[in-house]
Amino acid sequence: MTPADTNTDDMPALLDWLDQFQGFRPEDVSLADPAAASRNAAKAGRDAAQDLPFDADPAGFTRLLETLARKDP
Amino acid sequence: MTKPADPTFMSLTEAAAAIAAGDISSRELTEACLTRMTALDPKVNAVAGLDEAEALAQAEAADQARAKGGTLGPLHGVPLAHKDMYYRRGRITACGSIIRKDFRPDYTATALQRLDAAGALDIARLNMVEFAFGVTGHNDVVGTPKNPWNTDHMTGGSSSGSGVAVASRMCFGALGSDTGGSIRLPAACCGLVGMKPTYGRVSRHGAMPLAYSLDTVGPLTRTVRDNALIMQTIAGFDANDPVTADVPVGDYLSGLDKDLRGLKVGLPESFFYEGVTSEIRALVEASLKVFEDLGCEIVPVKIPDAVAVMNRLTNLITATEGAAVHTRWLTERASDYGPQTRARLAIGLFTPASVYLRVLTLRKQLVREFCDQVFGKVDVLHTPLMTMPVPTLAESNMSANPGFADYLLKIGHNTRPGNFLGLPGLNVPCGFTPDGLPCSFQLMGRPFDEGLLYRAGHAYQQATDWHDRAPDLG
Repeated sequence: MTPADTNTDDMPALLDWLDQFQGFRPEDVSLADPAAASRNAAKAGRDAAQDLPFDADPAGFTRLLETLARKDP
Repeated sequence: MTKPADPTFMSLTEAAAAIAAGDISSRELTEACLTRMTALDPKVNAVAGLDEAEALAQAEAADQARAKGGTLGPLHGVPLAHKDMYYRRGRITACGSIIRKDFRPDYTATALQRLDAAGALDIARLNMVEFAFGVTGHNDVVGTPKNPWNTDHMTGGSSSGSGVAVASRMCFGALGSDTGGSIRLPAACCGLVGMKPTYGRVSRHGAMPLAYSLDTVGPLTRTVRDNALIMQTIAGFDANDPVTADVPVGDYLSGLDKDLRGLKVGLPESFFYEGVTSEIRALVEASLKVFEDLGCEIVPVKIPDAVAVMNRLTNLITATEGAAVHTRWLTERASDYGPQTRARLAIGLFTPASVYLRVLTLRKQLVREFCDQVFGKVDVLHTPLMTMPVPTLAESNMSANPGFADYLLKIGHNTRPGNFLGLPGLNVPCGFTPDGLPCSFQLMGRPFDEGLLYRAGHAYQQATDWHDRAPDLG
């Protein structure tokens, strides 16, 4: 699998999503309506993931780490 | 802080050498550990399960093997105990939960198999945060361990019992697991050395999964040398864990005593000192001065801005992958979870797959950027491990109350980036705050640079004596 050429400029959309859903509070209205929360989250995810190549394989991440290891141990 | 003539106060390295030399038997050492366990556990609640007869039988077998004159492993006869999430065939592995309280796996974890082969004893199961999902050490369902330095304070988590048992001299070392700081935080809170290895360095086969993309296995010990000895035993490729790396394991022990002259130690210019209290800053800066005195070059280094979001991204991955593991139980046994564990796992059910996959993809970009910007300039990065003194149990008991997510982010501020990036991180104690609780620094390195981190941490411990201090539990 070829490492993705991810554009870190995509970060703002991801952060918006995190602000909305990772700042979970029990009284959060979106969690009182899980279906709506899921729809909104899915939309945010679709928006954020446009044109993104898939490269999420964890074994591939290990292979990447191997390439970043010290060359003169 | 005392150091009486008690064999449990030896380091793991000293204990192994004493057994090999015939100065003490494995049985004597095991009895001494069991005596402390029995006497002290009512105060600190480290032990999840103990079979004294089985522990003594292991010790007897080790002594008999030595008497026969066979080749001894490097950990021969030394009593260890581990976080209650490592599977051993036929033995209960409860994972700090009610849900798994009767679970008996039918195979043994690779890490335990390797410790067995090195001759180590496995004398007890140690308490942990429920399903390893928490950084303070609280466990709402099976009980919360207490910090041996002051039992009003938190232990850190999730390897809470591992930290408590090793600091209390109930055993000579323990495995923990680290998904967001769960080895380094209890090591820091309990005054121990803890290594979160590079992702893929140690097999997770037979270790309870929390987040497949982040989970790592590593030891908590009283000295850096002890830690390197255990890591030397458990590290390496395992066909049963496809993410383990096929990178040779260096000789961590033989390189320990090389001097550090010329080593470039990075001082972060941003992020890692955000929110650090004055007493922590003073102790961590003093530890940096020790490295300077050892001949290291202290190099200010710019930290990539993206590190600021890694804490939350690590949470996202953990919640999402954790929710996948727990989906059935969340549906069928929701009331058997503690409120915080249930709430945090439930968040993961709402993560869109596209966002999750995108975060994992972004991770690859960010680790390249971090290694280029940081390790292009320095050999190791030196940071505070926690930003605040060890909180009390009461003030850190967030359960699922409003604000718990922000509080947990604060506790894991300096640990989670290492998990997100997959980089190794070594926690080393560097003194005590005015309330008598331990303080630590963290050394981060390039992927698979555990050997260099051990070398630097060991040099620091040779120049200081914080690791010789022990909590006074009466």
